[in-house]
Amino acid sequence: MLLYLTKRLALAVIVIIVIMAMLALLVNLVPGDPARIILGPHATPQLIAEIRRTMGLDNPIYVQVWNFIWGALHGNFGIDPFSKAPVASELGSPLLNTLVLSAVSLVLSVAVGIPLGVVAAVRQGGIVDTIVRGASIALLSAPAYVIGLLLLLGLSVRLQVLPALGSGSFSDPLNYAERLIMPAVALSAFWWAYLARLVRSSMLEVLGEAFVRTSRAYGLKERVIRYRVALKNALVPVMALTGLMVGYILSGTVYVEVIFERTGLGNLAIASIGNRNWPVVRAIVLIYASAFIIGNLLADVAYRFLDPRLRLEEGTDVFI
Amino acid sequence: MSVQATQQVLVGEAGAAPYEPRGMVGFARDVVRRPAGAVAVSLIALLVLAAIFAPLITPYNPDTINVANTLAGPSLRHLLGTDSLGRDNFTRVVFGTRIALEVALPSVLVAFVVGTGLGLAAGYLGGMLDKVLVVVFDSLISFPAVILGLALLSFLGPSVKSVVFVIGLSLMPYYGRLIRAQTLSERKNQYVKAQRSLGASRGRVLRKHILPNVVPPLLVIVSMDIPTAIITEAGLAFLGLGVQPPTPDWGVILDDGFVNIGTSPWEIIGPIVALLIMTTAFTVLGETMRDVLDPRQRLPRRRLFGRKLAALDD
Repeated sequence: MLLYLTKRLALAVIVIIVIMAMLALLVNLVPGDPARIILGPHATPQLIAEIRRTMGLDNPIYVQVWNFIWGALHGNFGIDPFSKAPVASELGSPLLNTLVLSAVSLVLSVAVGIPLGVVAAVRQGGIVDTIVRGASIALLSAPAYVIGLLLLLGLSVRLQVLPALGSGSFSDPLNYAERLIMPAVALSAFWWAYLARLVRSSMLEVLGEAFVRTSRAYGLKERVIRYRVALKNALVPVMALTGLMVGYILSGTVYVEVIFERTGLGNLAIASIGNRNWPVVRAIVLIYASAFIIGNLLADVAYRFLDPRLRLEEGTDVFI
Repeated sequence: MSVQATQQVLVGEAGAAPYEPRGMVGFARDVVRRPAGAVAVSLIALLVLAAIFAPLITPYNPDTINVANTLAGPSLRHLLGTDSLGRDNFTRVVFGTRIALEVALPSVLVAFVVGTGLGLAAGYLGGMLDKVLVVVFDSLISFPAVILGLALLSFLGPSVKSVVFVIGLSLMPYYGRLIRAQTLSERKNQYVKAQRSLGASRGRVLRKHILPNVVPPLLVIVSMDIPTAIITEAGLAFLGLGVQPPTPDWGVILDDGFVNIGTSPWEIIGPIVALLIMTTAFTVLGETMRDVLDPRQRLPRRRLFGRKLAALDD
């Protein structure tokens, strides 16, 4: 386990550094002078020189790469060429909003999807089972922005039951929570369908295993068998999905923040691309990628930890 | 093919041999024979025909502006109403099928070809090349497609070509990883060692034996990635990063409809329905192909509305 942990961690660190290097190189791939493109055709030479200095474009490429990696490791993402403020200081509140939205969506996905799957498996052919199997197909092919737009249309424009736009502020928690409902549902609806289907089939499989029959033979209550013996084993494959879920929800936040006009990293990134504010875009992309890598790392480790069979294979090839 | 033929001879009819496709035609026939497969294939055919014959389906031009009739509701003349510039929504959705397929098919193809090549090289040749490629795959996988779009499209400029590049690049490492893992397990087999000891070159073993064994399961993934590519393409266009207005693209239409959602909901309905039909059809096709290739996996969950057979419980 220790060997696996170190190898897996080393791979994650290497990947993050490679990604930082790629992001630092990106500005240099632009045809022409990036500073001139940022400022437009009417820029004076002094302004261009100034932007080149703040963005560090006059340094040799390897120095640029090194500076970006070293700075990012210290939470310093350079200077915003427009506002002249450090990029890091502009990311605080959007980052917090995006984190809250992602966390709430993740919890909502799991809290609805898994119970649905369990009920569908335990009461086969019942109402929940039929809904899970029927409705899931439609939800599985609907991307987050489609669900978001439909919610916006139905609940805000037509019925006017939920406020449509903005993310509210933390000083008014009720209002803030109310504004979280639609975005969070838009991000988790796909996972309700996916998790319900997955848990249902994995639960059915586990319920057919010999150890479940044995616990029945020992006279354990059906409730204990279902919810303590079987469910624990049926949830192992869900762990393997955590990485996918994190990726889906992170990229989904970009759409959802644009649709519901929320303050957040995704919305800020789209706005910054519009102004060609590359230092900000670069920092946000790095945050998203790192979040994805860390999410995957935790999922991999937890997966190993939960499934004792995998824990024993010490020599397993990390590079899979 | 030769290996599979030998296998069939050895195992015989009675043995529990894995699915033998009897060539591409036989495989296609087995897929279409299932009701789900038949529905999916005909829906896809319908959409492809709609894309090809778009100008024959509707009397309007997707770009003709009519300022006298903007944001109209549905009527017999305009089935889905008109948009903020008076263009016919239905016409634009039908033409949008073209862009969706024009972007999705090449990007999945590029991802498939490049990923397979790199994965085979990494898995079969091993060594330093393998380690480097694994880091490359893992680095690329850390960018969900939209995030990769954020990173690259502002530099590449939004065109069909760069959208294909971004989506292809985001899908490629999944193929690379998968093919690499399969190649690793395939090359341990006895027959590979036997071939090599008989004097077959590495290239020949790769081409004649490993490739035909690792590719068929990928068809399922290709079919399931096409909806992903379509969703990403429309999503990027919706965000203003992909195909640009006034191109009749589903994402572009959604964006225009989103801006006018308070006045007229009809503009977003068309692309959403089209998108759902297209993605569901390809997903169902993928699932059907998987079931045909591996009948074992379909036991409990395939009967959508029927009850489970009692015999399966024990």
